[in-house]
Amino acid sequence: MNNGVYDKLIKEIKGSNLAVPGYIFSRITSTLEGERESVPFYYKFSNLRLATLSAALVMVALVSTQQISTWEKVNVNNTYMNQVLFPSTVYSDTDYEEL
Amino acid sequence: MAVISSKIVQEFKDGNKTAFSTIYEETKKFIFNVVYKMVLNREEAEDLMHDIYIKIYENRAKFNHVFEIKTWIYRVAVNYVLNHQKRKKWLFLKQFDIAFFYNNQAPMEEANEEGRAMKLLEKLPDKYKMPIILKDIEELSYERIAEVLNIKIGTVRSRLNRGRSKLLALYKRGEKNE
Repeated sequence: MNNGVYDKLIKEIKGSNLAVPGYIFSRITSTLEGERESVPFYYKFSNLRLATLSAALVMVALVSTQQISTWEKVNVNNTYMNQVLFPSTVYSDTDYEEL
Repeated sequence: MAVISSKIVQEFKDGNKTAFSTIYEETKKFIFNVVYKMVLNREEAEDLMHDIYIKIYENRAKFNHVFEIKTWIYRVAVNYVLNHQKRKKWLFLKQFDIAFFYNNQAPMEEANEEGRAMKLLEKLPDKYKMPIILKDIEELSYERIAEVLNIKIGTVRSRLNRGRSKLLALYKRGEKNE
């Protein structure tokens, strides 16, 4: 009985074989010829959705461990961010030292 | 299963793209279906397929004729996909991935009996799943599986037996719950 059930399961799995899409080889050759831009970082995670999720998880982890408690903290400690976000309130070196 | 001639292999090692294309044509079906059965997602399988063949081409000089070229390619592919699965587990993303993102476009297009068998296979640990895929589904010999997985033939047999029992147990558990 067990063999019969097992054979049935295997037959079902075998039936799910997919045809290989033709464009995969074009992608491979493009990469080998350097036509495609370098592999983006998120490629390591298989796809963008996974990367987005992992970025969100990292943010949650940082916030929960108070590595980043508020955005204000980022502003105060990062002169470059201040210049970008608040150009009218650029801190001088002295201001920065006082902080 | 056709054997790739030594001339083609040598040309491939020399970087000939036509030889690479011939090798790709000879091995693509096997690699794609093994990868798909491990990850159960078509897009992911396509991305992995791309990465695997890039790796194969870039490391072609390392092929040393100890095994047949197909065995070497299968070995590279299997190791790559097993490492990929490990990385995914390490990131604790697999559950989120399936639960949040792939619900609507289902990892398998077939949400029927066929899909159920695949779901059962998915639940097996990789070390049991891979021998089942290679032996019972892709019908490789024990010797070749041992070479591909870099384990002894006895280990292949024992993992296969264990895997089969576990798959059946999962099936029975599923039936009881229904």
